[in-house]
Amino acid sequence: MDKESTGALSKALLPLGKMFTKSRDWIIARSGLERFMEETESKTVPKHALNPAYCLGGVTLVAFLILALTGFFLANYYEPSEGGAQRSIQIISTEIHFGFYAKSIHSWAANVMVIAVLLHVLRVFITGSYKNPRELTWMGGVILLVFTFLFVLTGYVLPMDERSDFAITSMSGAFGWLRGIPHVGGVFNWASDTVGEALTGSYWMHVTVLPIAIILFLLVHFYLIRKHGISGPL
Amino acid sequence: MTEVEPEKESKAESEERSRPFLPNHIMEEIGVVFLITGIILIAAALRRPEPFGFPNIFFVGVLEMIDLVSPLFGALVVFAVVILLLAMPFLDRSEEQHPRKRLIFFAVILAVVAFWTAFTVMGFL
Ligand code: HEM
Repeated sequence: MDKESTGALSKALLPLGKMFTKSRDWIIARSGLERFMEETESKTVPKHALNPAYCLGGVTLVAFLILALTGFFLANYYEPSEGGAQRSIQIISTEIHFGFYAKSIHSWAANVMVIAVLLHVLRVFITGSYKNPRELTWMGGVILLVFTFLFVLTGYVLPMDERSDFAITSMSGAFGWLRGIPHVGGVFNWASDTVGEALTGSYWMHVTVLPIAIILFLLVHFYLIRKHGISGPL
Repeated sequence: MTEVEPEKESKAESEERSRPFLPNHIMEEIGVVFLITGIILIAAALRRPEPFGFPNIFFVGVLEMIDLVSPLFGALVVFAVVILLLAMPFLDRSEEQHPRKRLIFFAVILAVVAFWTAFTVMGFL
């Protein structure tokens, strides 16, 4: 592009640019984000953290975000009842626009998340990054791992296919006895060996309890990572 | 133990070991995000609704412990592993980061993984 046309273009875009800067500054001023922006602008990332092994937490996060998006979509059409589960999934896969892709991406992303989080734990373990001062980052991480596995198990129950039987058998076998706890045992209905109860309990866990719980723990995880920075190179 | 005192480190030196978060680092991270999203989308678009046909491999071991020993045993092993993981920073108290200097600790963890793997393999037999 010659000089004159670039000049014309930028002149035409100038008001837009000014508008953008003004609105950005307005939002920053009104929301009190100045400190946060200043900190972020002066933040640096150590070079060793560019190694792919140090990106696995990020990959896990992306997989989780994709799961959240496709999950929102699916929850609008899925019917958590013994008769309705298979029928609604059939409808999602054949009749709803993008339904097939949403369901398929949801199950692919779930596998990516599990594999990525396990490799993330392996990286943190090998580099000894759970040591002082990152003990809480690690312990919160262990809880995140438990939540992730509970997501997978309760997710397997929802389609009501052969693998749902497998998930119900595993969960009721290992944790069914928790339902015997007086007064609050109902919280563990997802570990019931009765199909209907296990389905309702799993659905409740998968779309209400676990999403809220994992987001809370993720926020703590990220706050702590920002506070301590990434651990040093080996 | 020699610790780097921040004020003695010149600006050039610290720039060599680290780089600004904005804008390149964050742009690359967004690049990675798109790459992964792309892979997942393409995989799905190839019309394979599920990546794997078998029950999730991580639970086969627990199910086998339940089958072979007892439900309580399966639950106890799961709880024990979670507690072990939670306690890790307090069990492995040395300041050493390098795996070669944490051999005993690695051996313990490897034993736990081997135990779990054994049950997983038995579950498939
Ligand atoms: C549910 C998913 C999780 C997400 C999204 C996540 C995300 C992240 C991210 C983005 C980082 C920054 C460094 C990196 O990416 O390697 C990180 C660091 C860390 N994570 Fe996680 N994490 C998760 C689960 C876990 C689990 C299960 C553990 C441990 C059992 C864990 C322990 C840690 C520790 C100790 C660090 C600090 C590492 C260092 O400073 O070198 N995280 N996590």
